[in-house]
Amino acid sequence: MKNKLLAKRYAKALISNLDESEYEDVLNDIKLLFQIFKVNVNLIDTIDSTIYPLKKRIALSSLITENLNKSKIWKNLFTLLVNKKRFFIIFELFTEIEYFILDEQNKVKVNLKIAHKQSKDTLQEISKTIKNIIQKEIILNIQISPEIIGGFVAKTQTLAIDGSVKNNLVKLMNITKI
Amino acid sequence: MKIQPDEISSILKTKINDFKFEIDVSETGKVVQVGDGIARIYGLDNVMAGEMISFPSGVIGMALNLEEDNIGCIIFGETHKIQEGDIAKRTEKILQVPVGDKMLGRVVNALGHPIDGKGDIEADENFAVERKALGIIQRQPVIEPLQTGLKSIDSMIPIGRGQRELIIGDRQTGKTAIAIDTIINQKGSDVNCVYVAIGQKKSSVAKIVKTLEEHDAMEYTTIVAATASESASLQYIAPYTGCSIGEYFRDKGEHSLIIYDDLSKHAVAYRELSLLLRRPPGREAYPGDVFYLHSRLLERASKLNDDLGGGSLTALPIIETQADDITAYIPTNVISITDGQIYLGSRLFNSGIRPAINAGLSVSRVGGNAQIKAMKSVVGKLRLNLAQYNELKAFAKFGSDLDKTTQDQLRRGERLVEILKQDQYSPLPVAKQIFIIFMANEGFLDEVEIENVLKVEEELFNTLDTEYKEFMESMVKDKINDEMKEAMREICKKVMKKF
Ligand SMILES: Nc1ncnc2c1ncn2[C@@H]1O[C@H](COP(=O)(O)OP(=O)(O)OP(=O)(O)O)[C@@H](O)[C@H]1O
Ligand SMILES: [Mg+2]
Repeated sequence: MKNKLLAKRYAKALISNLDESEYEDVLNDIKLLFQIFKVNVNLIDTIDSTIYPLKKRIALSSLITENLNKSKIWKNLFTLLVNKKRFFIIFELFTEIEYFILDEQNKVKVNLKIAHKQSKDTLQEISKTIKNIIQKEIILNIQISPEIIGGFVAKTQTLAIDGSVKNNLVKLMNITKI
Repeated sequence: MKIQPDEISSILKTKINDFKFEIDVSETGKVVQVGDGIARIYGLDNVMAGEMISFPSGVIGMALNLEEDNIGCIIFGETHKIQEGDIAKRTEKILQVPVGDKMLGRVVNALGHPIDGKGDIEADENFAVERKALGIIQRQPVIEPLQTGLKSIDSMIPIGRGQRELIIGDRQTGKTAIAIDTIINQKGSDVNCVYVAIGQKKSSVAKIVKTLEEHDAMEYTTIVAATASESASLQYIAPYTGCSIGEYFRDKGEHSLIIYDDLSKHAVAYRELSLLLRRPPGREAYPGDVFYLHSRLLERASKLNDDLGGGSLTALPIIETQADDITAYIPTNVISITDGQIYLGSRLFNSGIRPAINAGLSVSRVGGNAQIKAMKSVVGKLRLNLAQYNELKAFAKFGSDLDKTTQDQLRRGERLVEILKQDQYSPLPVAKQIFIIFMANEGFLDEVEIENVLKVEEELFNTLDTEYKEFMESMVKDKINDEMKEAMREICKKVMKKF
């Protein structure tokens, strides 16, 4: 969790140096970078490891950024992170940057839990409900989890919307206690 | 009361019928760090200072520090039920406590929940714990006396309703005793009492409850207990809770008295929280706002103007000093906030002068206006006489040849000290207080042996109780005029004849 706080600070700094027109490019870069680091699990450890000389590690991190849209920005950011021995927060950092950019564009990522597979129409209905509550455009990430019994649970970074059968059953149980 | 089975099922039915499927929306954050009664939460960007925060295990907390990217939150309850990564939810409510007439006779914790095993409390209302002190327009100067039933206080350091009078002294000098006697003395009057125990032993609180019950004083008293075993956050919030409970009566136009026992421990609890919240420490490691901690609490004691019903909340905060040092940080702070102090000396206490009130150092800045006229007219030079006595006493130790006036002064002083002694749990009605002080001031006791002074007092009270009931009632109504003084002298002479 501490990483998250750190990441937020770096992300804020980065965003304040970006122009609105650059947002899309950065978002696409992040998608790519996510993949790179996910596939090469050891990469982060290697870059953060003090066993190797600093120069080599910076060179390695710069190498990753070469073919990106905003390679200069990323190169500088990575160099800073390596110097500060903070490269390990990279995943959190990506999430935070993404969140900030989406927020600027009045969008938000939503993790949606539903009990079982639903038809397109129902999903549409649910996303409409959520949209009405959040008042932002939403990007859904759907997850099936039967333990909520029915209905849905939607979560963003800062909001929890619980319209599940489970939650309502719990409430019913509480009010019928005498 | 027994509930019939069909009644239960009908209640259940309506409850189930009224139940609506709902979608809950709440702002959430994540617990970053937890421990020592403190949680740091990431997220919850819109949280208000002082807002309640709920955790999954049902524990609640209160947001105290709002920082750039996290909030610091104190936890009321078991910290170990909260884990790193837990979701914390905003409640959009400021911490509230139940208040009302049903609180009387009960022992509650710092959140206003009953802990005396007498069942739930049906509160009339809920009040925010941190309420703003009233403005200047809403108040008026204190005008009515709050009788403590203690001779030395009601005569020399009178307290008015709506006043804040500090009780200060070392440990075991009878601070709590004064507070408890004052509560007991409110029996039959229209004053409701709240006793807030902060950081005390559970056994001490139990003893106080028992004492009050024995004197039928629990009927009009609420005890708010945050004992030493409870978390610093509960100890921190307890006085504010008690104050809200007392304010309910004040706002209704009634009178209430609140005792904070004691604010030194309260300050220590707040210091603990502040250090854990990483607020910068200042003098004696207390945070910078420790003055505000007590000033905002004590400012809530007030006498309302007549348009608002004329209710009052009198506060008797208690401060414990170390080695009689009233110049330490917290004592000086609270002395400057309050309208006077009752200073208890450990030397006096140990030499048998109980209550161990040091008349020289004790003052009441506003209570004089509220002192009943009858008392005012007899007290006269009591304070001065005592002060002179204390000075002469020091000299008398050296010299052997003392002139007659000095000897008389010493004699008088000794008697005065003697009659101001008073046992615990025996508060006196004001008429009796007036009488015995009058008797000593007029010199009736000068020829009585010191050991017999208490016997004379006893005899006087007996005579008054049996023969002069009506006279006593008329005595306290207004100033004591010369005619009455003459009548009092006659009674004194009558009593003295028996010795
Ligand atoms: N007027 C009195 N006459 C006789 N004994 C008294 C009197 N007042 C207090 N005592 C006794 O003195 C002791 C200490 O009193 P008390 O507990 O009120 O002091 P305290 O200052 O509140 O102590 P603490 O620092 O422990 O809170 C008690 O045993 C009490 O019974
Ligand atoms: Mg005490």
